[in-house]
Amino acid sequence: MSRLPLMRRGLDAAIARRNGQTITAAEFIHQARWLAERLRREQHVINLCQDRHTFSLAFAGAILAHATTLLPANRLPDTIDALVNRYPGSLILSDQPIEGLYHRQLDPGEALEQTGQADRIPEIDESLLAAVVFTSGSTGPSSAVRKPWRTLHDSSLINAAEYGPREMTELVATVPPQHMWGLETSVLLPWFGPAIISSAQPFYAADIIALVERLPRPRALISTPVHLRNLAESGLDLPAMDRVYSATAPLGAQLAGQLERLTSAEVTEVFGCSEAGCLAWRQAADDEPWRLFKAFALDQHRDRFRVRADHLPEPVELLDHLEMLAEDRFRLAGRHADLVNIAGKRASLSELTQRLLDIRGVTDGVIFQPPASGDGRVTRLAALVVAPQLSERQIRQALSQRIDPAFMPRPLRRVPALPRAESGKLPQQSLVHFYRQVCEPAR
Amino acid sequence: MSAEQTPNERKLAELIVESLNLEDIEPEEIEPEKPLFGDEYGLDSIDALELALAISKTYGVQLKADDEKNRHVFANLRALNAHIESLRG
Repeated sequence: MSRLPLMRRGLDAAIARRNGQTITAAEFIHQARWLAERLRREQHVINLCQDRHTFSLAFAGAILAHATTLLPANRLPDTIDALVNRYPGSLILSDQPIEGLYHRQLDPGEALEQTGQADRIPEIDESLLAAVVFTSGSTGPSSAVRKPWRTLHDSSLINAAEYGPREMTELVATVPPQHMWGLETSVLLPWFGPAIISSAQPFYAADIIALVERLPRPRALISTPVHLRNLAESGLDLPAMDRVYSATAPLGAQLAGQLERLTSAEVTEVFGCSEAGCLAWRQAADDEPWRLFKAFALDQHRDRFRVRADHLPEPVELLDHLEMLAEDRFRLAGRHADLVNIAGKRASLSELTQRLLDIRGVTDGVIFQPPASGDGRVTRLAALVVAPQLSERQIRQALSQRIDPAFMPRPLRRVPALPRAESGKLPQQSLVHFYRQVCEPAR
Repeated sequence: MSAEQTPNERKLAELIVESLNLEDIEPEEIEPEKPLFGDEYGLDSIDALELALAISKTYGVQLKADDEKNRHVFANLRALNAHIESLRG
């Protein structure tokens, strides 16, 4: 059994800032050990902590207790219920009470009050299943991505070398730690590279600016196109930054260029997926091709592209189509048609449609992605529903219990029938044509 | 408290419907004290960002989430309108 360190930072290195306090690696490990003592009988924990530092501490505590952390795609009671059913006895770790949840819960906050210093960096069994990341609300095997400690350890070192800060840098992140992009950057990067993460998760443009302004340089922002567009269009003066990182959706060269002018930061776009983690980067403002990380290799298998790397448990099929320019250079060329990604959340249109059809009173229906508006805004899904006895409001309410708000169709229209072909199929072209007839006069 | 929209609440309701492309809802249908987020109108955090941007452009005020009070700002149309009015002083 081979062992790998929990982190590769000096014991006295600062790794996080929370409420004006700086936390060193030695203090962090001391607190994580204290928490691990309380988790040592646990096999699975569900980490729903909202405070980033508390999340990190609970994650480290679970790893030290040899427990697997489950990271659901959302906090809907249905999602958590399904997760606990699939992993019976799971303990929920949350720093805030969660409405509608009646499973075993522990607030790890008490660990933050433990004063003391660890005298060494713990070593972890590399085969420990440290995390299972769920890519959608469904908890089935298609959604569960297994992350042994070796995978997280190695990918963190790869990230630090490929795009991480070169010198000690203050990091602020707008992304949740439960999402793979947030986990790899805002939780793991400071464990493996010269970075100090702020515990806060600023949301509005004014919050991000206020937080970044208080930090010494060099400083960097880890975010998504949704937050960055909001920041760039806020009309507020943006503080100078050294680096801006974006992932989860295409950033666009124009927005990247605007951000570079407004913040003087280098804007780095990172490409990846929950299964493989981050795997390529580019300077978005120049619209340059993606550069594959050195540790990865790409090949094509039937109509899908695959990545492989020594630290991944198995090769990963990508959901995106690529245009290969060289062995390690590519451009993105569309996605597999059934899969949608809205603000970093992934769903299958056929699964969403099935949830719609599961509603009592719905006799036919479809959830699909209308053509993009092209103005950089998030394009929402649309639904056409046949349900003679239900109102649109009733359908919306029933659906909102079953699917993540990001995928709630907007508009949702009741129609007498769908334009199905004789075979029963619903060709995309006639669907879009029909949708325009039904929905666009309303604008 | 009245379930009727005040004139300022009506203007804000129009901004919400327009900025979020809420094709399914008419401005006058937004009940002042019903939650904006969650089941009824189905708004989420992407909408909150979009709406904050529209509010800053229309009213010249910036929403923040930095204190406990602000967690309730978006609770409903009435609370949001009152918050915007307090920021405008």
